[in-house]
Amino acid sequence: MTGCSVEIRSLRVEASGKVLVEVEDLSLGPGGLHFIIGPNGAGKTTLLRSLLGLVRYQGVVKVCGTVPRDARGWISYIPASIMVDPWAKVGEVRRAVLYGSRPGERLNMDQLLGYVGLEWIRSLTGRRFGELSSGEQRLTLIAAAMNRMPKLLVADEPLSFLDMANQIRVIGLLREVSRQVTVVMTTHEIMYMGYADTVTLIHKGSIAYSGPPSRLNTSIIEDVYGIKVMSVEIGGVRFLLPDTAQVVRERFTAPVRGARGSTQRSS
Amino acid sequence: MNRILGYTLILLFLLTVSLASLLIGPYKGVTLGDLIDYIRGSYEGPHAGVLRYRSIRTAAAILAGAALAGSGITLQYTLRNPLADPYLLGISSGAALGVLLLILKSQSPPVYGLYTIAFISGLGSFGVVVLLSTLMGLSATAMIVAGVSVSYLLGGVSMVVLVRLGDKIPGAAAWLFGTVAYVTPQQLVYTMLASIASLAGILVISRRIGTLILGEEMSRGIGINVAALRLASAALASLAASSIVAMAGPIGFIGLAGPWMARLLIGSWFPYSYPAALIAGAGLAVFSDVTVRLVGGGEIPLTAASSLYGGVILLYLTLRSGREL
Repeated sequence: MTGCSVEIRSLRVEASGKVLVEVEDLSLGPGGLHFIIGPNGAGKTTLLRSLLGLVRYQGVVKVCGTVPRDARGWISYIPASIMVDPWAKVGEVRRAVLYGSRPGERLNMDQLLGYVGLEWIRSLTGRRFGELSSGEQRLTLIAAAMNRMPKLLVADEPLSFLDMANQIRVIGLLREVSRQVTVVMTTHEIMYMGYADTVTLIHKGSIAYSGPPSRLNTSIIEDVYGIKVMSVEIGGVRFLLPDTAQVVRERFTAPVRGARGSTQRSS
Repeated sequence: MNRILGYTLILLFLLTVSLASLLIGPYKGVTLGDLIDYIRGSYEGPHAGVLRYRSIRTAAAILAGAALAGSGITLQYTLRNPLADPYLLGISSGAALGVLLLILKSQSPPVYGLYTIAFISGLGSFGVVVLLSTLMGLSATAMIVAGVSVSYLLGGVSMVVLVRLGDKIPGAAAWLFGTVAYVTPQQLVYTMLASIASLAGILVISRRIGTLILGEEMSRGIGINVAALRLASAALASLAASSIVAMAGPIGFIGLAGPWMARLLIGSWFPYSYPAALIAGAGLAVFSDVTVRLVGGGEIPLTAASSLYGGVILLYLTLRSGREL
């Protein structure tokens, strides 16, 4: 295991007088796949950016045993919104990502990509970045980030814009990678929580839960998100799903506001 | 395209047009043999004066093109704006106004004074353009609109200053439209020093500039101080561009066309595309300077020639950028 650990003590991030993140104590890794989940605007991205020293913070953040600024050579970071020059070729993007890296252990990327059926992304090298689909762009950046041979991979919503098949491939890839590299990622796709070693739920800037996904109660999720959630067990793995069935029932059985005549029923 | 092939092509282009620039002009009768003898230092014919003049003129065009394209490509990467160019972003017009004002105030200003005022006023007006475009949302086209507006404003003031210059009007007017026809060896040396300083600085930070294709957030994530990098690049790019203004006046579009020629032939990794832009820009400037000599009825300004293809490229890029940038 060459991944390195993340340690946060009394972290406080403010912007124009408003507290964005306030975390008393959080330790992740070494190694493993760590989910940061929470509603929009809860402070997930701010928390991630503090790991790279990209926001001004108070308190202690230690990555690979040092302050974030000095650890950047070991970190790969993929932001949520991709702003890569559309004219740049994929090979050039890969080269640019390598800047300033202090390589850890070399991963066998071909093998890892092969495991999850993504070896084809190697063939994109000569294409212009702007020509790729948003899924291909994200996969390309993840592979490029891994080329950097980091000890910590920080990914902000790596599953967004991906179709189901690619989501499973990416989460599978990150799972494989997390055997050797600590992976911290934010996501809204809580159905993939079974892949994670730990889940940290952020609510209004603070930690509402942090620990193994198996112990995250539906009641905590329901409190934070304000919707009904069901827990389903398939093949020994527990999945938390929004109770869409109930929403559909309520939505279509209740009288439509302002509508006249008989209420419609879902068929 | 293969990088070596790309470099070979633009070098051949530069070589061909430079040769043409040494041999072609209103004064006929200079042969290739004369030129070879002149370069060897063994020429003793009647054309020595013409050959000397054309050498300085060609060197000035090479320097102007390289510096402007180097400045343009640096700005294109650091501002993340495919349309960036020292002429369109107000650096050239600011520097030009500074130079004209100094000439108006002092009878015979020292040459270093001209270069200093060009640098300060060029950087100053660029700062104003960046400030304005920030207010306009910092998009690629907003920046160009701000740059062109400021350029027109400063250009208007320059015209006012120009007509107050008395017997210097003809020379200053020719200079204001861009020309390498009247460059002195002393100016050549000053411009070369400024351009080499700019080149050296940009080469030192070229890999850092290269990471900016990833976008600001990712660049910062791998340890780049993006704000400091932008500031240093802007100063270095302005230094090169303003020294060209001091020598040859504001020359348009080479700072836009050179970089795009380089990126299309060589690719987008800055440490490779930057040197290519220097060569391509030099080739384009010499090509334009040969063109202005060939048009009948006396020489036309350099910017007139470079605008012919530069305007087309700007239109093409703007149309494309509406779709995907």
